[in-house]
Amino acid sequence: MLKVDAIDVFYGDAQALDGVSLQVHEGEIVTLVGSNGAGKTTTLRTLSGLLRPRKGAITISGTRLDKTPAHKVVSLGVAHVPEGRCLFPQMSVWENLTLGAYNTSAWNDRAEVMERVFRLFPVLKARSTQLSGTLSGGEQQMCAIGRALMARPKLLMLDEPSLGLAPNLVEMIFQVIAEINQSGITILLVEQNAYLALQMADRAYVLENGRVTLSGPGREVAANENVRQAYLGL
Amino acid sequence: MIIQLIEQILNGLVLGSIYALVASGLSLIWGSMKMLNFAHGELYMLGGFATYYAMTLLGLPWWLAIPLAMALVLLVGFGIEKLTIEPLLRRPGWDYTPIIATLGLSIFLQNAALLVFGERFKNLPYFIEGSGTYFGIRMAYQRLLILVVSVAVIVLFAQFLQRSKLGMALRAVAQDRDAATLQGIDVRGTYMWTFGISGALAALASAMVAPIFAINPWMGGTLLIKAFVVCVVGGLGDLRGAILGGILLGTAESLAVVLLSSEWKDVVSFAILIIVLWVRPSGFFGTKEW
Amino acid sequence: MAVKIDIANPSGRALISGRWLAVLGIALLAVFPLAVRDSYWIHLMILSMMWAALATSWNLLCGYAGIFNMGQQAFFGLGAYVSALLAMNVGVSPWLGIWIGGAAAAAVSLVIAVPTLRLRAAPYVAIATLGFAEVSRIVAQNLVDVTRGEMGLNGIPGMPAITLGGLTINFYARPPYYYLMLILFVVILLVVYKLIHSPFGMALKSIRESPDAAASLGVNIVRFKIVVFAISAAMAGVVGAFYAHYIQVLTPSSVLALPLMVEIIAITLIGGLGTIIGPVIGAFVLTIGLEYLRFLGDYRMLLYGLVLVPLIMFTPEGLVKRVLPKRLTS
Repeated sequence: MLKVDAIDVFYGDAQALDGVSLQVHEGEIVTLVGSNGAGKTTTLRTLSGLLRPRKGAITISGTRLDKTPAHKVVSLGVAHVPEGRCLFPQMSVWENLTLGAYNTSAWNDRAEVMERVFRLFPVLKARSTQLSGTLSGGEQQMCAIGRALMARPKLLMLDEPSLGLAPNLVEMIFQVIAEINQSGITILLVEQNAYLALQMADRAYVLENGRVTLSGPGREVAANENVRQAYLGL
Repeated sequence: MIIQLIEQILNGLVLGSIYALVASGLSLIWGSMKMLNFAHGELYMLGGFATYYAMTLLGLPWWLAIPLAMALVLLVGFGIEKLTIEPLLRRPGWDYTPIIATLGLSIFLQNAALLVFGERFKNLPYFIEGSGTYFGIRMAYQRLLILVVSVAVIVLFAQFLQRSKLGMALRAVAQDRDAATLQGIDVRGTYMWTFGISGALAALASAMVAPIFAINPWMGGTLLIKAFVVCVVGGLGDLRGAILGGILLGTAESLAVVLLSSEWKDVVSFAILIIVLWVRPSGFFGTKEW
Repeated sequence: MAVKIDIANPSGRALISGRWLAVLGIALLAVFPLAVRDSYWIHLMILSMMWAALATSWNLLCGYAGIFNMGQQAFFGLGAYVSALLAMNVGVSPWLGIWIGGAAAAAVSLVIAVPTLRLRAAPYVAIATLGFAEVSRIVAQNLVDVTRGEMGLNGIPGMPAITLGGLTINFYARPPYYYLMLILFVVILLVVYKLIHSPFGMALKSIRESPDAAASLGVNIVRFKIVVFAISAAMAGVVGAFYAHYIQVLTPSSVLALPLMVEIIAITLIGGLGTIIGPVIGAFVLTIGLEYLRFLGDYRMLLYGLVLVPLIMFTPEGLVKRVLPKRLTS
């Protein structure tokens, strides 16, 4: 479904990604692990159109994503939950969610879609009129994921959803991600918390200094000696 | 004396509502695009001229001429944004370049207006003649009209921002540009609307006061600086700030005219600015980041 | 989010070739009145140097310290009026008055600098300084008893004669003023140059390019900014005072109005923001160039606005940087 073909991405003159290739098949959970600065966030931002590759191509179901204007990406079915959540702090939960459906076919059905999001995250319904900036970390993460789901995406990309969350919340979020995947949405998960990510992933890529150094089924990658030492603390 | 003071305060409210209209647009542009529009005064001026010519050349009544003028300035705002501002915003390090660009535009527009429209002040008849006296306080109907229309439009505008799809998009862009893009909001499109709408608001203000203050190519100049003061006092980027600041400044100026003299009223405005900067630089409703 | 890359590049390091060029330039300027006796041209050059000095003082703030001051004319005018009034009412010699004018400008600049420079965003500084300049203009306009407002403060005494060595120099004609301005001009350029190449200048550069990093290193950003602001104001004040005794008549609209600011911006942009030579070139180009365009009359300002927009859009670093090889402009 998603094919990233040897992309080079630069910040000014500094190269952030070097010949990165990856694939995500429909229905999968694919995870991208790596340490800070490896280029994980850069990858997602390039997929979303916030950055453009200098070389290489990105296609989703045949359409060139790297040639699509950034604001049209979500209407192609690709939703991105950014690192640090990036909610609209002075807007309520309800408003944040509503905006999730902004440029999509989901706009006309947004009330329905929001109900489904509320079923997934009941606490959001309780706090729907609260300003998102005043939510707790876990609630914000739920809101951000909910906002992305409002677009009725085919591919959901999450950037470090575990960041700054307590372990029990992290488990809950990952459970929800698994549920979302079971409902038919393909997941591309970027995580520093390699342990949980590799457990639930069908396939995984390891990113180091802007290059893909390892790829394969989740279990395999998790069993790899280097990975175990570097990312799993073993 | 009390009667005079109250009348001046009412005048101040009228003036304040005009300031609020003009400042709202500026504040919106700042909140969304993080820039100062130095050509805002000229959009105000164009609104006045457009109304004048709509009424005199086209013979339209004021309640048709004004919306027409607003629509025209809306389009001009679109054009300016698309042609000059957008290319600048795309470039990194754009802290002050839009200021200079709009400054240049302002000079150009002022002088172009001078050449095209001439230097003679243009007068418009009052939209509503006469005045009424309530509780011994005299109020010209024109001024009352200004107040009513301004308040109505500001309320409408606030509702638009709060409830409409575009309004929400405008607010979202002001809070997080990238996140807005990820939700599918065309940020550059919202910039166009932001610029255009703010111009239209200024055009309305200009049209409303035209019968009182007369239309000329330089009318945008001092008004712009006042509008900036209003924004800073109220808090850049916040609509409530523009309203509050406008009322405060309008009232302070009107009282200054009576208590001091008309030459010193502008100094009062700037004195308020400096005091606010010393005491609470982010302004009344402003966020501390600045 | 796009990475903020600083356009105003100043490594600030002048290479040997740049330095020799400067010496050559100053030598040429020094010789000019001897070669060209036309009083009008000497006047033009005096104005050019004045604008160059003013623009340099502004460039120190904007191009190097990243402070977008839109009210530089306030300090120019303040210096002018202070020195003029002291000379006329109290009999202070302009030789002293010039420095008092500069000091007064620096002192007053603190009024606006202290509250404003705490704020980082350019717009706040712009609005505050602009407002401040406008107040100054209006105050000067209204205090008619003191300044005679728009009717003009006439009869400002020129520079009194001085005796250097055995030679007495009278300031009756333009050439002595020319050389005085030249000296002030060179001094201001030297001060700016020294500042930029000192640790102070390095700190400034770090503040402009990465305020957070600078703060974490313990640089007291606000204090630095205030000091630079005061220095810049002092320079503008000194130039203003000179102007007062040179032109010998002052009105608020001639020394305190917004068009002066626009001119300074245009000059610096044409020449190159964040370079030392930029404002100098811009000043000479604009002052002399505009004289030729005088015939345009009313269209002059129109042209100004029209040119300013594409200028900032396409060459925000200034024309000079685009046209000249990089080595010379550093």
